[in-house]
Amino acid sequence: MTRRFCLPLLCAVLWSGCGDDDSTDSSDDVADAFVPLDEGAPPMACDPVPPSCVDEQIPQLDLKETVNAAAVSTEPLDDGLFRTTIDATGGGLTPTESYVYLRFTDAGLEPVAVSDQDAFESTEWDLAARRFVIRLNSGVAGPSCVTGARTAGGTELETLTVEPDGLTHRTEAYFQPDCSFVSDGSGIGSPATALSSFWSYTSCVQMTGNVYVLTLADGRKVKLEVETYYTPENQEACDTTGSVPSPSGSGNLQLLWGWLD
Amino acid sequence: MANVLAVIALLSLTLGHSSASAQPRPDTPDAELLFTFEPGELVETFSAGPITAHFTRAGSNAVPNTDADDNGVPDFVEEVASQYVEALAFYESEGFAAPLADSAGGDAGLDVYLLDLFGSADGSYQRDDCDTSGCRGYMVHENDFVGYGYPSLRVANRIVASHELFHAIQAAYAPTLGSVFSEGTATWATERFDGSLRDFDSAIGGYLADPERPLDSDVAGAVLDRFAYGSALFFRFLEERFGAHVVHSLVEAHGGDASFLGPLESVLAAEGTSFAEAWVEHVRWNLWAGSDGDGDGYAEGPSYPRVTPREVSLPLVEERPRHFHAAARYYRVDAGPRETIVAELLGELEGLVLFAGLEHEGEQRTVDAVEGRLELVDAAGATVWLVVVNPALEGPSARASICAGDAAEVATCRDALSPPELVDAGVPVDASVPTDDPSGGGCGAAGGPPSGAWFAIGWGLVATRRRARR
Repeated sequence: MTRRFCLPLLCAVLWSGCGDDDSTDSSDDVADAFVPLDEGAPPMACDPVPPSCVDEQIPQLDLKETVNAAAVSTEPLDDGLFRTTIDATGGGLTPTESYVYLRFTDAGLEPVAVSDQDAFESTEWDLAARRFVIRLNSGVAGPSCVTGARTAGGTELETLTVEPDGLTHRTEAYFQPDCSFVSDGSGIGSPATALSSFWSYTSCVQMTGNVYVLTLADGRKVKLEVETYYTPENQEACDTTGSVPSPSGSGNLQLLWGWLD
Repeated sequence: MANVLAVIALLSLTLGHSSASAQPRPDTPDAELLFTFEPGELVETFSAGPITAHFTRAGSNAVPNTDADDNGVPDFVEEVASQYVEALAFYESEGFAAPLADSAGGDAGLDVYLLDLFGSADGSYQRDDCDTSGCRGYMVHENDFVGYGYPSLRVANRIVASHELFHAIQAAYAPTLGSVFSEGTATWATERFDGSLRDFDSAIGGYLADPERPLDSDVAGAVLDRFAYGSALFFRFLEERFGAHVVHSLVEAHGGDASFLGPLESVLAAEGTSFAEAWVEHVRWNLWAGSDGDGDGYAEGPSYPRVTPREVSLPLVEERPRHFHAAARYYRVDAGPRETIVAELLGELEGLVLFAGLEHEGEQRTVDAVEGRLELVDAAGATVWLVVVNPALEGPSARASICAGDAAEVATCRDALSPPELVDAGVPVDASVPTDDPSGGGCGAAGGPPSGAWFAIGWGLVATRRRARR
């Protein structure tokens, strides 16, 4: 009975939908408020803004009410880098669980116990991941002001020490101000998030190797690259051959990241 | 023998590569498509009426080679073609338009490519191009169904052929339909074509498992959306309640709108009803699906799965949940010793409809609310369903709270959830004291509290709701 019709076209991942503007209009609920930062959390450099289009996002992104307590582990590396592994499987190809919500700390990328629907009111998280979709806490995704900027092709994360000049930082705008959905252009129909160019798709999810600079709510900056979506060996096979063995280990993200000066 | 001759007379078999395609097709060399024939595979074609099947006998995409009638054509290929032919004739007899003539690639007929889909799919309709008259395209069909779990190849081919062909028919009407409408009506169409296939029956559970999702909301991304296929149940409801012509009219009226609910409203108006009325009735039918029901409902409702409720206990306090348009929230509770169960919606009802179902010792009955309040008597020991329906065609979710329990419990809930009376804050400015501040020196405006007050009230509500959910 299982019929899927997700045959993707080969398209470049579009960035046109990832505008810089926060979509502050059509907030659906003036009574909603935000989770205050923990006492130990760094101060925010921005005022929280209620995300718009929440009613549209919940069903269209299949957002859940319960916290996903999936495993997250961070391994400190040399030169101030970290490698974080996230169980972003979300319950499978048809997700049954919330995104995994995370915040950057000096000790690593730590999970934040918040559900998809409560995350719209929380400034505690910086980044959320489920399957191959990564959302930042800004714009339509959340009330904070975390931004992401893609560096020039060929940028090496290990040697990047300061943010390059001229980057365009983006907030999340995968829903337009009229709350119409913005697809990433991959043909799969996933949301055009600020970091959606970390992968491309033909017959498997290939890593582009793009390096991003994130600006967190307290103004600190993070450099980040998504290394794998499958197990490392299967990711290598996908990236080099265009096909992936089965079982692929899909949804297990591995992020390489570090703080910028 | 006569049958074989008739078949040969009707069908043509062409050996060799298919004709070159204007649009990339699965047999186009180096086509950048997800599923294609492998290089070196000899692709043959077999035509039956307007259907042309493209297949190979060797390689990873090989079809089963059994040829019981020894006519040179694999039986599997013949059966696939015949199922498409039969489905096409059926849909035409139902009044649906034929798929648009294929001029974009493949052969002149409707092209079906038999490919190994690796268990990730069992069929697909792919569009080549569209214009004002609709879209043209082709079908991809699993090559052997090994490992798929269908009871027989015939059932598999019959389901996939009737389903994918209906997508081709849909494409003749509108360039975009949305996955819920597209898959839901295709699954419904297969059920119309042959109700013995049980495809519909196995699909509707995905719809009944997610009743809070708006009917017209598609899920983004590459997911197997069981809700979309299972939404065939809604179209079955339309068929049983108003007649199959309503679904036919809706396919014609859709026009590629972002939502099919607007066109449906027009179609239902011609039947003398509205979407709101129909939706409430559909939600009520769904309440009693999988049971003997209260007298109304689906013809085969007792064999359906039950709708998935929120399992809760009394007293129920649900603060400002999101009641999405064209959706419903089902709560199921055990009444326990309470003789009377009261349920109330609080806040802005915004067109919400509340009703309850009671099951006890073989009895099933439905009670409607009046102005957002209902009472269930003789409830002790019963299983009670509370159902909140938002029959709006579109728009933001309604945020009414719900209380349920005995009368005292509901009164307590009501007091807890009712918004406090808003009063002006600050110290009244003595009219005799001059002030430079035309706004009144920080006092709340006469029309309500300052924004900060709303913020604080809102935070309190959110915190309470979280406690209720976890």
